[in-house]
Amino acid sequence: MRALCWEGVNDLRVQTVPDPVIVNPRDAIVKVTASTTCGSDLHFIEGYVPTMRAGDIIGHEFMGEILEVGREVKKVKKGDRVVVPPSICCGNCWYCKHDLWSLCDNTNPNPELQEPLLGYPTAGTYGYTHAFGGYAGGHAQFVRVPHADNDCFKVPEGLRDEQVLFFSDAAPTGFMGAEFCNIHPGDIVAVWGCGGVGLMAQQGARLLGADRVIAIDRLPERLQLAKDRAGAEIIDYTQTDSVVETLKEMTGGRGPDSCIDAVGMDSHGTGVTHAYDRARQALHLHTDHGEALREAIMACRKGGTLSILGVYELMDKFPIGTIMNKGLTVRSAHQHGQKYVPRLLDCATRGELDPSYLATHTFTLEQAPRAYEMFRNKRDGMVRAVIRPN
Amino acid sequence: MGAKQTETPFERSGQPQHHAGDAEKHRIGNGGNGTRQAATGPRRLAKALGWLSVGLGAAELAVPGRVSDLVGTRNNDPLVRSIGAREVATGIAILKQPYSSKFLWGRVGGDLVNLALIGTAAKARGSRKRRLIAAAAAVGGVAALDVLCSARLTRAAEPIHVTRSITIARPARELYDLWQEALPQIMAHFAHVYTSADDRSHWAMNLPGERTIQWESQVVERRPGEFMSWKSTDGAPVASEGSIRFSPAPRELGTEVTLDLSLHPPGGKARESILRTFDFVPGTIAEKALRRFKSLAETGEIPTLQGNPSGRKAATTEMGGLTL
Repeated sequence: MRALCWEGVNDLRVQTVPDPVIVNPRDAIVKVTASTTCGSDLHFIEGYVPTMRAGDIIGHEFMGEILEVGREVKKVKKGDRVVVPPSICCGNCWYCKHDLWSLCDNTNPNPELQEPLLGYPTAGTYGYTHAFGGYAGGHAQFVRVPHADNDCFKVPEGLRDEQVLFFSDAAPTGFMGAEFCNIHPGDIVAVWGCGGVGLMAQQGARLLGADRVIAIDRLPERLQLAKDRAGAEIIDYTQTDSVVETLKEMTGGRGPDSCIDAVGMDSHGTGVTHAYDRARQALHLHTDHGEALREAIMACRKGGTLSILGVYELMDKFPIGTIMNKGLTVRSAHQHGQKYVPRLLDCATRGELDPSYLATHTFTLEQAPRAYEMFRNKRDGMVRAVIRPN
Repeated sequence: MGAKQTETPFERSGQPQHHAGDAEKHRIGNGGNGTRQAATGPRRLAKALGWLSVGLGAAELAVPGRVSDLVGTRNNDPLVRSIGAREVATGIAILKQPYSSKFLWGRVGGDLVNLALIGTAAKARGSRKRRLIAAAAAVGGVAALDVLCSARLTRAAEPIHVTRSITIARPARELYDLWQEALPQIMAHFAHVYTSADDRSHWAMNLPGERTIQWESQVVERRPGEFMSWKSTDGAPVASEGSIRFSPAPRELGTEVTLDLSLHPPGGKARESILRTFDFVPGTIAEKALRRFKSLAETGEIPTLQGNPSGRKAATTEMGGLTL
């Protein structure tokens, strides 16, 4: 089959690779109908996240049609149209049973790779480095899906692919981020980032009852989407001296009740700390850029909630003292897709949530390297590239 | 605003709570023989001497004039700097391989050179005798420690102990049985194992450099549903013993499984290369064995990259492993 492989830093190529096969009785083989790019892919594509190997198939947000099932798969069958979240989850460990799916104990074949940084292994993830299991990803014609009963969610009739594809990752991540904020009526939620996850977080905050949503980004087309789709008030951080001061003014001096970071380690700042980050990067002493997160910590009202969705490894100059002295609650995780996907599918069926506007561009698998190049450089107003491998 | 916290296993079980029985259960070495030391005596001393070398060497590199002054020798910055460089290098080598005696004998050599230099300085006119004598005493004292440590490392084949635990959501008796039935599958990440009747198991492990070592192991003690221990038979290249303990976890969490392994590397030349492999690996092997056991017990399968497609031209079957 054909698949998009990482061959080195910023080097993506479509290769012919062997087809996946059923290995364990709970596996299924999915024929991928659509997959999409995600901001967190850029972290390892650009070489900031270790344990990639040349030849790894990438892509962790996808949907498709079941082609084949192992003999112990009971809940889905050949021909079913399903959406699959990025975390591979067994359903039987303590974490899965307590809805902490991305922390599954039993799906990472390389636990020793995560222990140095995390102390414990977490769930395996499609197409996302060997520390996260090394599993072949979804930018391919076919994918082996372990624990298919847990991880394949049937798509209801009447929904188009673009309406459902983002329920694999962007929407559950955003929704979880909004849920982390413990939103009460009247609350103001500020969201850094208007990419796929950020926009979903904004819509999630609305659905959960936030009174006002304030969206922060620098790209005009994305800020416009935040305004149109999530009813957000917008801040272009390149047009203001201080996002923190602007947020204070917009909230009567109190600060937003909760702050969601949907930016992550590729944060682009404009201040001195950003220059510091860039300098360290140039000297290969880099730790992650933290402009957005630092702003969120400063801006959040005292006693508020910080909801961290952005993917990071290590950060220098992290204002832990600010968190402590302001009494902030911090909640963070890789999204627990299996908890949220059924609810999101319900929302979609009722017409409450339609993320298809995120699919600004569509490509074939052979065009996928170009799709990532455009995605990375945010060209042509792209928000998410959809890839159709079959 | 009270956020509803998700309970962690530790909140559910009420840890840390220590009951009288727990102290007994958690004491190091219980179920085995004697006490376990995390970093045995000579290795700890070796590490301390390693840090001493690094610190001393750094000072000699950075402020050679002040060091000469302190010791009582006449200023000779290039000489002191080169001594410093050697000192730092020796220190780093010791820290990386604290089980190895050869770098410590290197320290002893360095101490003798230092003593000789101090002796030469003492003979020179206008030397500051008191400082030199104090310096000589200090070097002599450290040299004695170096000799002691090296001798102990050379002579003794310090055993390597590892203990790892994991909690598995299955009953103890089921796990006790599964451990034995599925041992070859559980250990596949590092050795080919098969068990025969009469409580023996046969192991073949591939080492880096295309060598294989093989050994046999014999079950020593069994308490069904609770405990099992084994040791390698005579003729094993590295004598080893181990045990696995199954005790109930709090609440409904299942069973706490503890794996204890001890390796007794031989003395002599073989020791160096075997120790280099084993110095960090036993802990990882034990931990991974437990993880694989847990996955097998809780899900009926061990996570695998077998058959995982990739753009790599090599074998299409890949097993997740220790090396990248």
